[in-house]
Amino acid sequence: MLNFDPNKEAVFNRMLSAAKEAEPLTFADVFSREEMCPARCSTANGRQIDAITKEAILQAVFTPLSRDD
Amino acid sequence: MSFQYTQLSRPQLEEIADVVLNRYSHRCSGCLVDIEGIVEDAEIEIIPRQGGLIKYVEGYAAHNPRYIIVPEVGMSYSPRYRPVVAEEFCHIVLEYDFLKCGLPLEAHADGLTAQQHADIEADARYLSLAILFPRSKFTIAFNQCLELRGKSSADRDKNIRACGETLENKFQVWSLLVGSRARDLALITPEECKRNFSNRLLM
Repeated sequence: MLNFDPNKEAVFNRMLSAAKEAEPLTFADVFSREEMCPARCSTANGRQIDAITKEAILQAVFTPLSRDD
Repeated sequence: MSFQYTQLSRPQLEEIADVVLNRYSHRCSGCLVDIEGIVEDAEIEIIPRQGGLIKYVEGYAAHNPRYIIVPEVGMSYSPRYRPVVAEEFCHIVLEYDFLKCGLPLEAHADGLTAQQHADIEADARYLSLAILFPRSKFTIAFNQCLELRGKSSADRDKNIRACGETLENKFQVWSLLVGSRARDLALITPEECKRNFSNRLLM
């Protein structure tokens, strides 16, 4: 279908197989806590966040998406 | 050196909004300003997340100014979601120089003084509405709507509320914020805004 010659097809199949077996990346593999840290937030009634809320926000952000479970 | 934020005047914020709207004029169609398109053109990525994020924030600009994080559940209603994206985009525009160099500790969201927080939020909020409701288009649309409503009813308050709903559809921005912008542009009085929209609207 991809119009590969037999050699290229073998390489393609090998790489495809490796990709299927690979561990999927998690959000934390791609993004760091430092760069995801809230700098400016939209909150209800414009309330300023405190350190505890900042930590809770980061925890929520790094929680895996439910559809990934 | 400690962090300082100098609040901008409304004419300055309107001027910044004009610059943004001119630069991304291809993202404006009729009354609709495609803020997500503008964000994309500015190479900023919107990242939807779950994990109960909505309990804490409607959205936020991250320390890395390439990212805006939003709770996934908040994305379903465009007139509420778009102003959040716009406000976070405006934070990045207004404080880009600080963000790109890394915010000093005292400039972190939880490290600002109450006054700094209020000034920064007020500027971002005003600028976001100036972008989503371009001054001249909004003024014309609001006045036309009010005039049209005035032909069938003499009840100005009722007409103002109806214009809020009409313009929410036209601009795809929450009617409460229509009221806020109309007040900011002196198309309605602060009292009319409180009476017809919400006294919870930040001044």
